Amino acid sequence: MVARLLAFGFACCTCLALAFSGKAAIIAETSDPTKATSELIDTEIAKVWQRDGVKPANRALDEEFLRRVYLDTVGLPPTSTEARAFLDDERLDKRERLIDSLLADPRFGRHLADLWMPILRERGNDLGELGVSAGDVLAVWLARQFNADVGFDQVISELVTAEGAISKNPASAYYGLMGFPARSPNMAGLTSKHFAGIQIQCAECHDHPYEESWTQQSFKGMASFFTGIEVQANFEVQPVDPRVETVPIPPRKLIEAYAASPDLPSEAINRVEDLLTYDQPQLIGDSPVKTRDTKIWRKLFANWLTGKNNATARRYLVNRYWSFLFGIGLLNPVDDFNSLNEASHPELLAKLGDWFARGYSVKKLYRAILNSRTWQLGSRGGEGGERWHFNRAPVRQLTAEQFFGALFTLRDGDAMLKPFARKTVSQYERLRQFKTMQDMQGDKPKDDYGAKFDEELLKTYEAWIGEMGTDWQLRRGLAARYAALASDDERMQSDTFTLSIDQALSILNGEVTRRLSDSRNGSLIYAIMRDHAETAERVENLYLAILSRQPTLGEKRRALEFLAELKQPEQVGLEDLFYALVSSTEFATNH
Amino acid sequence: MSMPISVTRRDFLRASAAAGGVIATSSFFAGNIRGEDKTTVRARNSKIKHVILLFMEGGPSQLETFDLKPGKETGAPYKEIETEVPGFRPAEHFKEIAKRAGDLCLIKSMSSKEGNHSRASYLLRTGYIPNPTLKHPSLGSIVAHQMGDPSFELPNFVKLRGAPFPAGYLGVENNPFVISRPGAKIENLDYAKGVDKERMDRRMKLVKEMEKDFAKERGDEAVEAHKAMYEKARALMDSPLRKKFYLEDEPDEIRKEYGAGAFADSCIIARRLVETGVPAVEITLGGWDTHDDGFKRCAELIGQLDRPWAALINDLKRRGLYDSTLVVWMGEFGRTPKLTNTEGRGHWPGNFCAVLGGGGIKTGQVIGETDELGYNRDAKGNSTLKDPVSPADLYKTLGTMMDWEMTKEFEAGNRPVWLVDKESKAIEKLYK
Repeated sequence: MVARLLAFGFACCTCLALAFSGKAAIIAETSDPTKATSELIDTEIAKVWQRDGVKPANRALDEEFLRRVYLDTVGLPPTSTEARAFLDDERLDKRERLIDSLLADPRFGRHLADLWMPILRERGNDLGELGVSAGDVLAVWLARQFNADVGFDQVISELVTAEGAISKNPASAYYGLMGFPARSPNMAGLTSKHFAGIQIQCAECHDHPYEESWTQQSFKGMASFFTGIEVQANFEVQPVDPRVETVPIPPRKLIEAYAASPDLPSEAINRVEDLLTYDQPQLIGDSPVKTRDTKIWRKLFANWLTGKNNATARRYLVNRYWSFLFGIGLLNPVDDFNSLNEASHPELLAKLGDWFARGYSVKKLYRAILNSRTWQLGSRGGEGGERWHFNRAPVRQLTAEQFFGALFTLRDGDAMLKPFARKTVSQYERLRQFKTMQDMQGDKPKDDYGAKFDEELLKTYEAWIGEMGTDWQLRRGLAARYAALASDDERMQSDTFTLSIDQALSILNGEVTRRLSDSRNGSLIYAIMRDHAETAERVENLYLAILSRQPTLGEKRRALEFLAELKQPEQVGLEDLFYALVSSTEFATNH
Repeated sequence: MSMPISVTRRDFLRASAAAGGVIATSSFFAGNIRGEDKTTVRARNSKIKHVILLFMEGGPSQLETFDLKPGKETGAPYKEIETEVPGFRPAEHFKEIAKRAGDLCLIKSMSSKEGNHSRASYLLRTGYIPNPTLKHPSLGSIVAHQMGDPSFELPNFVKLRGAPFPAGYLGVENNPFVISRPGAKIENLDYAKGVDKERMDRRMKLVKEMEKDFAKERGDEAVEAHKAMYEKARALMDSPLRKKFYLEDEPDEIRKEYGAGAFADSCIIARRLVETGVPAVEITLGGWDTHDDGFKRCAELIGQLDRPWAALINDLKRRGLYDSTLVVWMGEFGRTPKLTNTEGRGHWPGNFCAVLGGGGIKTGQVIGETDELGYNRDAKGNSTLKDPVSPADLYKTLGTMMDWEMTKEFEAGNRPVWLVDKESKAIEKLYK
């Protein structure tokens, strides 16, 4: 099966540049290159507090800071050991130190990949096994880029110009995940939304209601950049290994002749229409691209995305990362930049964008934001203010990956993982098992999958999955199934808490909660009871492990009363406490 | 903590633009992705109170079901059954449905351009072609949103078999509640091993205590949203109505009338749910992608379909529910008139069938017609399809009959969206 994807073209840069022509002062580099940026953030945010008469919350307590910084960098709350190490540390610069060590932790890249994947792959697109396999390798590849702090401009460029089989070049999975048949208008709409923060897709069918230059005609120019891409998925060979290729566009006369053939299937009719419609790349406000070399088209597009003149794209990128750390952007919806959508702090957004574009280092950007006073505010107190004033830390719903990651830290040893690991076995493992069985029987391949085995391909995939590791694979598998119950990828951009009824039921009664809240060997409760004899200590440790903090005096008293009044073996009461703690809003949110 | 929703973001932006483009930052509000006012008028001015969608996954062949061309080179070796309705001549395997022709309306001229399963399923389930930057709600979600009572103990949209399909901009509360194995124990609906009602109550009491402090210090928005869904889930777990998901107390003679099999069981459950007040049910019957061996496979599939579908109609009529329950039969596309050399057919969105009944619509009629070989255009490429109906037209028809808020501007992100494509036109013959 061959599916053809389209690419798109862009011409909105001119009007957007006009819309955001705020002067961008240069941020001075000092010996600590991110310090000035942290200060810039605090100054600009405080200006608006002053203007609107808003008062900020106090600096977050160590335990608040601790849980939040872990969740926002490595995607997981701290373990009790990690929590104790930080809380007992008395050095004045312990926060800066922790931030640096977390940014150097390999789990950082995995968390960033977890955040980007639902955006890039549009969770909910039903791509079956293809989605799983391509999604896995792309996630591992992304994690590598983030951990090595490869410039994000380069990451974008590699994704947009990706070519070849996804096993060899996982960046190709970006197009593979856009669904079949892949059409150039969709590539145009998605790529511009993902990396430039503009929503030109609607111009496929009608001129944009208030963005004058986003016409159907200009959309055609944008979409044409991707017309030369073909995504092939050979479903005969397992695991499915789509290729992304650049192909020359046949001359118009040939296409027209082909279109006249009477037995043309419906998919071919649509493809031909696309080929005839989207064949002249042109950035909005720019002149048409002269070359007919389709290989160059995507390069031009990538250059435009990450180019010096594209102020919108870099502001969007900063805005996207800001939203990862604050729940909302400086402009919202995060990926909807247009001339009428105003940022809450336009100066800050412009300056941060320019600073980020000097190297596109995501780790530097994170370092600057995490060390700012603004990010380190407590989630309680302060006076007045809307969410976009950033005068207190927002209460944010955990992503599905964070939530399951957090749940699975609540265990003793790895025995607990086994029953779940089996359920998230990948396509490759199944094939491997199947192939082993077949080899043992010495039979010629049965037609079970209607598939051929490609040993080399299987090995390549296994190497990628090996790099993923059990914990991450498990978390991704469970999160994907859980998220499918709501398919609400956009939750991250939302300031509301969303939970579908199936999700609520799966947490209330599902196997994950049931097994983890048990007290048998391998569970957290078992370990706590083994290591601590006093009931009060057990309660304290339960709180520390689950909420990364000590219980308040009142909480401790209530817990002890509850256990005493229950008149059942203590582990029964501890199971109830565990269950209640992980069902609380405090556990389900980052605050 | 977001801006009052009485003014939508886009209205606000328009107004600001009109006022010279000055936007007061104090009115800026943050990323409420569904800035739509959830309160909706639910008492629609319509006889239709429930919708049951029978969705045939894979693309059911029109030439083996309702648009046969017996004796022609494109036809199946099936006989037609003459019915009381001229033009309604189903395949011979529709023994029961043929008797119900007067209670049904057949559309032979459904037509689209989408010949890919996932794109076409999306189109037929929502009335819109897939848009990578926007998710449309499916028929059941729209009905749940427009006609459902949010405080109802049971979900307002139940999907029997098939994959979840999110409600998109209508919000997760209108998502389908998916029962993957109808009749069998529903996953996660019962208390987990080692937990009973008493223990769960005890646990929830603990949670309530814990939530108080958190809400006091950090505002109760997240806590409320969190609590609301848990309470809804618990209400469902403890509800006496949940027995409606199962078949244990269904009399044997009724079960016999529907026949055996997962599709038959789904039809009974659908009736039980509708009877209890659930506004939207979708049942999936897969296997229609008959590239090979189509004659045999279609006969088998009709065997699974015919009796339960007819029994559903009879049962609803007996209970006085047929006039308030619209039953829709359709798939994502039809199949090529030209046969393959393995007695199969390819994908064919150009013309296919849909069957509607109940809900007080004008039944006993046939809409649309294909040419004598089953094609929709002649050798020159000109359309020969009589009264073509696009999926959007079908949704406009459904929306009109059910009095949906079709002129209301909803928001997805800050883009305006409508429940039904504004350019479409309703099939008036169905209700006038």
